[in-house]
Amino acid sequence: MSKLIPVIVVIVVVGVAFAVFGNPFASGNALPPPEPDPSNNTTPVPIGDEPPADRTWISPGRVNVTIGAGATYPVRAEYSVTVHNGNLAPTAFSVRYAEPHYVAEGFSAPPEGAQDWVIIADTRPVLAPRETREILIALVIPTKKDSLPNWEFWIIIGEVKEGDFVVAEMAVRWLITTKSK
Amino acid sequence: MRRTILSLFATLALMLLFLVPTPVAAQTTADVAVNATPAYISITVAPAGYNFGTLATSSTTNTTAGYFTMTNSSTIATNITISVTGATWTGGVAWTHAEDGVPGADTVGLNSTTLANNWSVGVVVKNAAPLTLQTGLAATTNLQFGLSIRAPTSFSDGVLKQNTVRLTAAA
Repeated sequence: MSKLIPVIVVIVVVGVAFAVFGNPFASGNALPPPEPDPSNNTTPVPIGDEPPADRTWISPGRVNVTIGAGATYPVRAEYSVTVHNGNLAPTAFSVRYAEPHYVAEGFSAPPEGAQDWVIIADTRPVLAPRETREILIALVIPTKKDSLPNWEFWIIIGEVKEGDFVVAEMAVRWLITTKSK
Repeated sequence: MRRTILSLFATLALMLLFLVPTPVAAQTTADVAVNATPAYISITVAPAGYNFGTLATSSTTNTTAGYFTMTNSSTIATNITISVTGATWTGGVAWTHAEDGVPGADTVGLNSTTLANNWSVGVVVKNAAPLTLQTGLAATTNLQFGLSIRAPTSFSDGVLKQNTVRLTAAA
């Protein structure tokens, strides 16, 4: 029995350490470690009046990412989509990457493999009645691609409904601009 | 007793190891600017269902042009695209969803129109590459629309077929 005590002590110490400092294995949606960021250049934008509380909505409608010529790869850009559940019951939502249904002028469809560059912190959140929740979206472009044009992808959010013939979804358009100089 | 307590302690430690959630890291790398258009997108659609009933081969069956109402509480103008979620209509021998809207053997077409167009103009409801049903729908302006199904030219069975029509709003 006494031989087990050191093992148990190690397990306890590791457990407490993860409890205090965080556990990288706790979530399948965990994001890769962030890059050092000496200048926080994510711009918070004030937004206007919200739709009524009994409406389901998302915000924002568009996210613009501009990658400077001096950016160090892998490049990481993050922005949270805010989802509001207008229902009076807990509601499951689907949050997914999508090819754009159309693209903005001067932009193209995403390059091959772009889906793998997009990390969604929670792809199937369940929101309490009238709850508003932010869901982090991260774009991590692994290497610089000189031929990569300006491109666009969508994050589509909708209620998970079984058996409905007609459903509604809402999209956040991500427009990626890469500066060459 | 001591052994029991130690076992319990170890179990609790392991639970901490695997259950404690970790805050998601959030940072944008240097020389990358991220900003967003301040807006809310909000649509719902009703009714959620429609039964086209028993279809004859090569027949076309419409809802009324304004049968469905998309309630729009968005704070900016949006484009509304329409698609089906499945490449096939499931149930028995599946029907292929015709991307060009033209029916065939066990192949079904689906079209849509807005109330304003009242079937004078319609769009093919596709599975891949959704088309735009309404461009530049003004903020807080609802949209009424209808669906038209073009039945296959021949059936393999009489089993109920199902698919899902999806409206997507984007700024």
